[in-house]
Amino acid sequence: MQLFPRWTNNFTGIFLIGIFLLLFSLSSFIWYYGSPYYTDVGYAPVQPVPYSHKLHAGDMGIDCRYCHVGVEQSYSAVIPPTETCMGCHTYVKTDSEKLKLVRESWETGKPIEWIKVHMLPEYAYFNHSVHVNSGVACISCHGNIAEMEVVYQVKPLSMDWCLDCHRSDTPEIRPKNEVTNMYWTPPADYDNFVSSWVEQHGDERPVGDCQKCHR
Amino acid sequence: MSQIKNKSKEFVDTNKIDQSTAQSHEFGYWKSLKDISSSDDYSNYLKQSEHHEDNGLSRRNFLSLVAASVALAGLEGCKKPVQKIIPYVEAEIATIPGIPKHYASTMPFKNNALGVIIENHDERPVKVEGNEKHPASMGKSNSFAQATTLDMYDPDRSRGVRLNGKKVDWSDYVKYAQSINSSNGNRLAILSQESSSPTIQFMHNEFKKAYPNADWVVYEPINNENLYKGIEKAFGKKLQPFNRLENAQTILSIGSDFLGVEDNCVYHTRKFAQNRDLEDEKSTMNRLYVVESFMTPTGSSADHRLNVPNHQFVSVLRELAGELKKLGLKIDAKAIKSSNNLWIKTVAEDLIKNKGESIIIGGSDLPEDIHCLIAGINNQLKAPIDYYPLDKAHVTSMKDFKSLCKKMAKGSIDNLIILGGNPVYDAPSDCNFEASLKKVKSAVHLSNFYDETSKHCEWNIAEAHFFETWGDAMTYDGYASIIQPQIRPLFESKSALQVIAPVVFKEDRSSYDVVKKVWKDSIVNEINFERKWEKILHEGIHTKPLLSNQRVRTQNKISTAVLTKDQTLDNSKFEIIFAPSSSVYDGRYANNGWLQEIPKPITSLTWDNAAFISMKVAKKLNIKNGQMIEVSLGNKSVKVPAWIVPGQNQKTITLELGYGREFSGRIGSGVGFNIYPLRTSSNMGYAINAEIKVLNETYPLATTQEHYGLEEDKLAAPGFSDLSTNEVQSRIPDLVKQSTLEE
Repeated sequence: MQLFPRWTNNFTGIFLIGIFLLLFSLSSFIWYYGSPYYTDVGYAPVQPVPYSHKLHAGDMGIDCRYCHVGVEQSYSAVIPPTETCMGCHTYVKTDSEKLKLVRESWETGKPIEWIKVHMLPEYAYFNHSVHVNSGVACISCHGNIAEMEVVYQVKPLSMDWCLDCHRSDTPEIRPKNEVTNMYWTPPADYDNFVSSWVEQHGDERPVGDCQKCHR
Repeated sequence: MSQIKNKSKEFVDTNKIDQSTAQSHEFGYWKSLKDISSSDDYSNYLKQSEHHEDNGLSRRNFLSLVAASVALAGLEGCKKPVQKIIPYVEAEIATIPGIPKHYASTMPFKNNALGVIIENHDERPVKVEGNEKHPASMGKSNSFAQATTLDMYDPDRSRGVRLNGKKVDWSDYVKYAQSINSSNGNRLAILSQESSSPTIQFMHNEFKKAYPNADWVVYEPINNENLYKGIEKAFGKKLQPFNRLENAQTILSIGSDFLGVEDNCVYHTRKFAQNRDLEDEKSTMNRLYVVESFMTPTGSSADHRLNVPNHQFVSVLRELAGELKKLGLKIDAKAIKSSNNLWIKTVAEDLIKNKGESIIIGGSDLPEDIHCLIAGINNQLKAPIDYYPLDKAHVTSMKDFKSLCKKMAKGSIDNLIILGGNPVYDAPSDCNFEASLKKVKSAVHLSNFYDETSKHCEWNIAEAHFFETWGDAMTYDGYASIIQPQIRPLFESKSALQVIAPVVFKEDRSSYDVVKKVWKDSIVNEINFERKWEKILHEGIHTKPLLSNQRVRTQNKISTAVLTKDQTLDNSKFEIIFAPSSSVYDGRYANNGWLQEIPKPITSLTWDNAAFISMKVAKKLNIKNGQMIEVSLGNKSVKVPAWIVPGQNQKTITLELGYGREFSGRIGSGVGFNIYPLRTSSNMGYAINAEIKVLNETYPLATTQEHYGLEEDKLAAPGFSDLSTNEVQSRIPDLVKQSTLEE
């Protein structure tokens, strides 16, 4: 007895193709959105001024906060104004070809348009000062800037990655005065330091509160 | 208690739209008139609203469509765009991006000053709050102050200087102003808005020195002139009353919406609420009696409210005065009589009982005789009112304004400088301001929009918002407060000071220079001025008041008050009240989307204005909400949609001013209906014997009153029982404060 009409015979095929398409799209989704291609790890745009962090922060040892003045007070670390560059470069390397744009900016009043490397989506709130004042080091998120000729993104900056630290029992923190140190080695009692920090500050860390970051 | 219950029932009975369709609702908690009149209507409404099935493109459908299109649009965002960071070239001193800066400033409003703190992000002002150190605001603000940020960023604002519509340089205007040289100013006049600025006062004096015969006229459509005149009648000099509500235990408001849109409302609200806060067993609470003709925020906060049409306030006062006289006040005004009304008797007793701590506040639109009598009674009651001299403030004088209009019409004014305001739109219709303005040879209009008045003026100058300019203002009690700019003028706009300077001094002067000079010479009398100046800029206010409290005394008996005769209203006619709008005030905020959008108190109407009518009138004339009516007074008439409001007197129709603007604002142009044509200089507050004609058309009015309504069965459903409708219902009778003279 023929219960179903003849054309329903195609269902098996359609079903199989459908499953295949679904699996394919699912895997491509994960493959793409989980990959560095999406998270931009390694993103190293060419900046208008070939500023070398390796030279300034590494070899010469200028503290991060000399330029990024807002990092301890504001949500934004602050990209320095042209004035900060000119503070030294009025006297040093005054006719360097590489600094042409900086001098132009200083003379014309036209700001330098730096290209943003570490991009967080607009729906995620991030505050530099809170992290820095809690003892999260620059290097933890930005990598060893002091050795970068061109700054690139080291960490994925994904939500998963944020939560790795926020939920961890042993978060990456250190004494506040060592925050900008790129070559800090944990002392012998580091474990005690971390566990006592967690005991003190553990509740302040947004762990499961969506609205703490997605305001 | 049972009396009140009966009263409540009676109120519902009289207010039911249709008795036959009304269910046997016990009087209880209701959300709208629809709700109590016919529950079928309301449940139909609920079914159509967003909680139920959609009809057409409902909000929910709309949102899902938007979500879908956003999801599709999101596909394009697979790759992040290149973002740029643009830092400063020169670092701003003490600025760290991301950390807001706060500056003290002052929001000038008519002849008052509201001290504010303005929050700046990245050197842009974004938020206004009250300044805690300022005596008139005490850290609080009002809706106008909150919304004024949007006014500054309004892209519809006029820009730069225009001569006959063509853009010219500011220096061209300066040249023009220098060339004004009419002998002693015979053919020159300045028309300004109300202001209490010491610097404007200084400029006024300088102007008078330079042009002794020129006129400086002040006009504001919503003003306190009657109040000042009444006080002058009572005490012999023009004074600004300052109601110290913190010291008042019994407050009687006669048609005054002092908690709503009347002047100094921030102070009044704060101090009124202060005495409502019971901290311990010993603390007492003030008591508010309100006599009014339509529901206002003040009336709805009243403990006892008496519903009387405005033109009968005089008889209420007559009876009140009679009762007070009986209780020992020395009142000898003519034509007062004792009262049979329990309400009035009770008020009189309460006023006497709290003598020294009781106060009567009259609405600014009442006639001067009433204000005179009120001032006299207040004086006898030793009411907590301070009086300050008014001679340093610029306040409206209708007499001057009318004579200016006449001069203009005769063609005897060549140069007219209008400093802000929009008189073509808001002047009383009998002044014929528009026609008179056309006779002026050369008029300058300083305004924030290219508006009704600008069209008829040769010069248009963009007016600076108070965020953009230096200036000052003074509170009623004489505290000079500074206005300091938060940002450079966005649209090459200029302040009033800058516009007058080249006329007076024959040279361009910055408002900073003028203000600082005035403060140095006449306000701060200290050797170390610069240091003091810095402190004033920081605090926003000079802590030494410029005015001193004036001692006033009437003669032992108040005989100066001659109460006008009762006006009689024809039976089929109505009294109309011209009320300032809580959203656009006199029309000045018409282009502010935030204020247009915000639901108004009591009616919850947004955007448009309406004629408020009572239930009884609606029933008698068969008027539905939103039905157009034609209100005519004399030979003038306006068409406006009707709105039924509980608590509205059946003789009274309330019309809100400030709508129906025709100007270049994209938000406010054409919103609502212009009421000003009905308003004449003899009846600025209210008029009687207006007629209404019901038209056979309707106008869709937007109200938020019934939004998010709950059905009753839902309230009773398990899970909602905590809400305890019974509890709410049982409290209602105590909360209802309704009474009329006609009981």
